[in-house]
Amino acid sequence: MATASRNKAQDSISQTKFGTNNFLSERGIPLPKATSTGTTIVGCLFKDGIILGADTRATEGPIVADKNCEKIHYITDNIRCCGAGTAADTEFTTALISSNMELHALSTGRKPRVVTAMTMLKQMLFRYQGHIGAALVLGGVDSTGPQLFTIHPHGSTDKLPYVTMGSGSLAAMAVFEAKWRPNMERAEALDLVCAAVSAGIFNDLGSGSNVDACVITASHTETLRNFVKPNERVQKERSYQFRRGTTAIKKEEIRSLVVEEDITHIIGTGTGRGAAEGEAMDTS
Amino acid sequence: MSSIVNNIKDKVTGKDNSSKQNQESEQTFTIQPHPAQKTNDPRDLQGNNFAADPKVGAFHAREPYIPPPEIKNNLPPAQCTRSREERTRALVLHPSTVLSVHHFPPRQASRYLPNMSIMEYNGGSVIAMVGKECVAIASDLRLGNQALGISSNFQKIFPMTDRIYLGLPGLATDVTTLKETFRYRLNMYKIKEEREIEPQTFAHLVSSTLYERRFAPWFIEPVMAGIEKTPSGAYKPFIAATDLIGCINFAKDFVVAGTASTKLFGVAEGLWEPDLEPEDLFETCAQTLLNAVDRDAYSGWGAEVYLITKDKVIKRTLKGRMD
Repeated sequence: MATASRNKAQDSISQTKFGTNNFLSERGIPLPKATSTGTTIVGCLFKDGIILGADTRATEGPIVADKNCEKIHYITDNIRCCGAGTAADTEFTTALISSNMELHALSTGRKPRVVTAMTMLKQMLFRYQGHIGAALVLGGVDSTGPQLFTIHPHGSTDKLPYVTMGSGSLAAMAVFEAKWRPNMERAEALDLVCAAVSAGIFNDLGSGSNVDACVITASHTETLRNFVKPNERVQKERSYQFRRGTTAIKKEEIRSLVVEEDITHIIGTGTGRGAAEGEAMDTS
Repeated sequence: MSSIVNNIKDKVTGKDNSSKQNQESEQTFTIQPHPAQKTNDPRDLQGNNFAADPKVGAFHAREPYIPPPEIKNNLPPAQCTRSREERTRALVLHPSTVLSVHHFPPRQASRYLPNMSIMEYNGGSVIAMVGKECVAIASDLRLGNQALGISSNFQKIFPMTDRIYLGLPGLATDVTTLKETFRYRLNMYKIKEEREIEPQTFAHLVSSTLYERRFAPWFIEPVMAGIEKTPSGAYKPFIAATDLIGCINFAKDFVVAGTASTKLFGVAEGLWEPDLEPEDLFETCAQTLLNAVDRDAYSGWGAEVYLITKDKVIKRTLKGRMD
């Protein structure tokens, strides 16, 4: 009896917290789809630092919503974060933590550390019990050296030399498992990251379009937006313009944004009425 | 000092302190009893103290009251034998009864509203396209109640500033609410900043307004179109769309939303080309919308196009199929 009423109380808590969602889904009304990044995101350690990589496809169910979106988010100058999962959640959590990291750096007067960002992110995601659907790859170089983490939506974290996340993570991890070695050169590691993301782009339906990359070393961070474009669209073979006047119009309203001003010059020698009024208005 | 007090206390309460001998040699510290109590013994609270008096004590009830069997077995029968569900069902079927949401029987609504998606409840679609120094944003004019058409003059595109227009396809009640929310927020922005909002900033305003309701969202997928002034004084077209929780999609070609979004994607992908002149952009945008909407049961019933150029905004109401 006691447990039954306890469960009921818990139900009503979640009901108020997540509002209409439960109310509607209980009634057999499915929830609308949010944009998600059924993604391939990767990160790996190399000789001088960290390289992060991501594809650029955003999906809404089976529809490609955005063919060239950005999944590598700015945290601080020396820290970046790749996001997979619910697109709005990755966007807003990284923006929030980026803001908090800036404030933290200002108040401590030190260069921000990757573990700090990782702890902030995992504590926030754990607090929301997985309802914020953000799966992240966090990487950067700080005073303790190069750091690479993955953060799951429920708040668990891993610290590994090479990591992958998202729906294309299996394809990308297969590449890393086969080819990753410690202390790789920059060019070699960048090629490997591209190969891993490409494996996701071509073998996973949730990932596609281009490869974004980001190289972080102790001295500086290099963002390589659309580093590889293996799926560029070719020029259309002809123009599909309509002849002007094709569409039947019932009504047309034009709103001009140009302010038209008529200036009437009143030519007078001081005796005229206009000149007298002009003088009188100057005093007000 | 404390030992003297303790000695007096012990004499008053008549209790024997076992550590009395040690007190001579070494100073000890004890917790002084509350002035209203004689000792620190918690049993004192249950005895003859003030709070224990059932007439005065507010918190004397320690356990739930279980009536003895002779009372429990002789209770009068319950006045209503029907379950809560049965009672609500009776209420629902009675035509004169005014219902509140709380009376709605759980798991039964799906019988009245089979297979319903809230985003498709009222229907409607919006598209925005980029041209050469111009943008176009177009919508249908239908308001429906699922398959039943209600209005063929339901506007979904609203002017936000002179040069920014916002399309709000989705649940009609939220269209009205959000339109007013944005009007309010833009007025506040204008008062604080003493200038008009820029399209890029406006997109982020829309985004955060929607993400504010992350776990109980507005059922709207906004589409916005405008022209921004670059620092050099030139005009640059701007379009963006967000999903219902505010993930922004800054596209360079076109953005779509609403019940016909899948069809709009297909048609626009085929018809759009870069650097269209305003009049050509109008034709492309209008034809894309009209043809996509004709393949969508929940959109249609007329359409309108806003063509925004650097010096004027042209609103055209189109002739479309009315079935």
